[in-house]
Amino acid sequence: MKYLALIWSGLWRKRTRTIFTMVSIVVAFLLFGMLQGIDTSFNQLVDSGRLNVLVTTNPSSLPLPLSYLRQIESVPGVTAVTYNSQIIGYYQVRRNVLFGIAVDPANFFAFDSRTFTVPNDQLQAFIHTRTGILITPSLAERLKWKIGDHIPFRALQGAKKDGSTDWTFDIVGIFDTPGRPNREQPLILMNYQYFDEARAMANGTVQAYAEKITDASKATEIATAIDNLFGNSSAPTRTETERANGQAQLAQIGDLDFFVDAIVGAAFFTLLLVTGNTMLQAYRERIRDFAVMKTLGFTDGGLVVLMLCEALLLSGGAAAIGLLCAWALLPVLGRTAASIGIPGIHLPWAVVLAGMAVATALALVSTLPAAWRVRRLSIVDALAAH
Amino acid sequence: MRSLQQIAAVVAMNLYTLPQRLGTSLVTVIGIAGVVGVLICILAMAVGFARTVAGTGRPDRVIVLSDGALSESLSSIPREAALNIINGPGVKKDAGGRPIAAAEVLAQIQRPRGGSANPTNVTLRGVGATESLLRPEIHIVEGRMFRPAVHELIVGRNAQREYSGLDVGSDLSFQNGDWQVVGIFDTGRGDLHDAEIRADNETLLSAYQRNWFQSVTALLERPESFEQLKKALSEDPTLHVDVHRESEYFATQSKSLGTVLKAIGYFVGGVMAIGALFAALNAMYTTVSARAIEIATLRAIGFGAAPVVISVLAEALLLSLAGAFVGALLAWIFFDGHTTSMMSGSGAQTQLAFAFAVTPELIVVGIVWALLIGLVGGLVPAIRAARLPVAAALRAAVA
Amino acid sequence: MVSVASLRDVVKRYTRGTQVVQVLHGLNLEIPPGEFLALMGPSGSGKTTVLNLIGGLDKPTEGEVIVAGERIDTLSSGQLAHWRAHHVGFIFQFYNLMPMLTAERNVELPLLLTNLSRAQRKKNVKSVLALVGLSDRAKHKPAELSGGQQQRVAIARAIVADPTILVCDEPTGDLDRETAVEILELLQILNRERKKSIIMVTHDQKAAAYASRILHVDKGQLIEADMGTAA
Repeated sequence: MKYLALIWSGLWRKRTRTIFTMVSIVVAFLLFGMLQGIDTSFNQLVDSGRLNVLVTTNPSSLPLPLSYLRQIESVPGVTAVTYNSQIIGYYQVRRNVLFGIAVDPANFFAFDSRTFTVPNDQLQAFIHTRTGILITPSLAERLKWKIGDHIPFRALQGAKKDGSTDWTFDIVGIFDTPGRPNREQPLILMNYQYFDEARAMANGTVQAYAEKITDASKATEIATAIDNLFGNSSAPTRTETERANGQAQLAQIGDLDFFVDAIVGAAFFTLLLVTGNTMLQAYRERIRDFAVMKTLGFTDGGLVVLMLCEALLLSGGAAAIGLLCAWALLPVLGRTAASIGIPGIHLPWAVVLAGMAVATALALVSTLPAAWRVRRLSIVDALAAH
Repeated sequence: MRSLQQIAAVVAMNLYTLPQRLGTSLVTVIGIAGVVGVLICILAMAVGFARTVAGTGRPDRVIVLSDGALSESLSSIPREAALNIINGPGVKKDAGGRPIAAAEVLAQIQRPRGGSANPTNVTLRGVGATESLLRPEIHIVEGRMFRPAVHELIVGRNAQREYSGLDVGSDLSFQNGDWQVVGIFDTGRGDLHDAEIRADNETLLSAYQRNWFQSVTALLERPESFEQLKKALSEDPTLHVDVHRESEYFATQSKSLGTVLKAIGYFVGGVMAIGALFAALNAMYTTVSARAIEIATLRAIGFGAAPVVISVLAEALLLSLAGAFVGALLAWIFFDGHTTSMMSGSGAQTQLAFAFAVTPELIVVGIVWALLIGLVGGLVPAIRAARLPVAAALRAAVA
Repeated sequence: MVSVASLRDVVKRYTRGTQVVQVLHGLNLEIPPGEFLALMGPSGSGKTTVLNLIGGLDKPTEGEVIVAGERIDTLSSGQLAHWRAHHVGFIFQFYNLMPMLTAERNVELPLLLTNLSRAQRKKNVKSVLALVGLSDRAKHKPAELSGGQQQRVAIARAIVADPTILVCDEPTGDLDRETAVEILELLQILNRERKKSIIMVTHDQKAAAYASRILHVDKGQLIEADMGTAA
């Protein structure tokens, strides 16, 4: 690009101004990257929920009887059913949050062997060890746990029959959810049978069922069929696709989309004004330079393109730096969030692309007022003014 | 005195020429308004939330949960235990000698929020017959109180606002029963309970076919009776419970969300402040450039450096102040009193509805931030202005 | 012989606020190719206006302006820009170099508008810098050059695209006597050896003496004067 030196020199005409403007833009895009990154991460997480898997829960969050299992299995279209109960606790200190999921080992891993993987020998150990647990790779790494360790688990609820909330488990294996953010969460899988026998309350119940269906397009029908089975019982159900379930849970946090959009909108609006004003100022200071370029034979259109390129270089370069910082920072935040159960925070490509699009728009719009002036610039008047 | 006169003169001159730099000045004002507005809005969420929480507790009221439970929803108390607690020492009695206390049931109902289709959980609380004495702050503002043993509900004002289909006369279907909303209640002070739906506790228990409660709430004879009750309950071997003063309990409940909101507020505000800072720096540098000749002339005449520095700083601070007022005003107009709801409570699915609170203290915080930005943004250019080489600037003026 | 530049019955009026000022009242001027013409006159006389018209920086209110065989008063501003790039070189009193570019990049500017390859451009810049005697200052920025050196860079920039005519507005106005002489001698060399037509506006009698013809402009009219030493 033969004009590159010219464009570059134009940017640095007033070094301090360019640096200040750059910092403003870097900051705005850092904010954008962080906030929008979190928002989109959550949305992507929710969208990873499957449409051919249904989740059945009690709308009032109370447990469901285990006896429902047989009935659900017999619903046409359902190929596999699994269930789980949940217990939250911690290891040694409150900071080490653990999410315990009580399952039937053979049933659970047979239900979805592609998403949840575990070496067969470890699975057998899990099946045959009552107090055995499987842990996620992140737990093994963070807390330095190894197979064979005895782990004390202090529950936040779910007291045992003896009244205490201290449980002890044996690590018999490490399971994985390859490619999914769950592997960052502090999850432990325990034996439902052991869990149910030992706990004081809600015995013989589960928190949720999951059903695999053959035909995703029939999801609503099958879900309704399941719910109809229990409509008149003391524990009615609500069945929806895994994805819908995830969306509902996200909506619980609050209106995150609106929140993020509002802040990012405010920040960018301000940035647009600041940058536009800077471009205009810069133009005013360089009127003479532009007039001279015109005398050399640069056309109005040519000058506008040069100004645009300058703006794009400034805006795009600074935006890239801001997004780069967000890209580096988000995983740090993400690891902390995952350790308390919120996985998947990173900077998605979609956000990077959106950011660069915004940077381009910013460059275009902020150059407009100055570009308008350049076209009407009278060479004679500009040169005459000393 | 002479330097004070000098300062006044230069500052006046500076402000007089401000309209010439209107464009850049306006942009700085808007930039700072943005920072202050966003900061105040986010902090207003934190304050509004904290207020709601703080307003909910009374020093002479206690909540009893099962041992180790961090929140009501994680607690479970069987019927017998609940009876023992209600009859415990230190609990106030009404005119008829009955304890002013109740064992309460919590459940979740799903309702769609405002304009969205996704239903979220609303807390449904089963309260006892002594409710009007136990929580006198609750007033029925529309309709009437529910009758016991009937499927009737009353809805808190915040919940009615935040969710759809919770007006007087609305029908709700859950747990294979049909229920009707017969009244709206309000504590008048933005209490957490204003976001709840209420029913009779025994009626609710039978609907859910349960025989255990989540908590026991009791009114104490005197705030000091707390120790007496606590001792009695912990010495009873059949009970595994914890007694908490209401105010402490709610404070702990809201701590994490409150902290998160404040952290987000300061982080986002801080980042935006850096952006605004550089906008201010740009503006001040432009001011100094535009006034170079004027400043050099002043210096040549004999004005000291201090008046020049102060005049530039004064302009920066004035712009910041203007920005702060605009930002605070916008935040107050659009967000003060606006209700929203967020998830809160450890490990629980409770939604808490509360209102943004744009308080005078927050506005002061906003102003302080703005002034800080103005100060830092004006200082370096101000010093630069004082150091401009007088002769060179004057020569440039003549050329 | 066809003139390199002609003004025929040229009238120029400006509107300043509500006032209308007429600077030229039907001026006629023919400049033969290879001439070094000096225009002198008091301020407001219209000499700079004549320069701007010939350089294609301004358009007449009435009349015709023909430079390098083309009627430039009827060209659109885009066409005019293109025309300027190929036919005119400008030299200003205050040099008007791009402060952030090196001498050689400044000189290269007009060539960016052509289709020459990078190697070709570099070659032309190099030869022109050698011509004005600044080969050893090629990588310096204007701030690192003296007034005279900056003007030489400006001259190099003005001739690098091989224009038909050089238009100079007080080229020595900001230089000391010694440097002014160097610049004027350089212009003379360009005129005599390179056959460049030059039109120069100046206040300075001594500078005008380097031209081959001197014209005085007063109140928009031309008055012939002496032939200069370049004749």
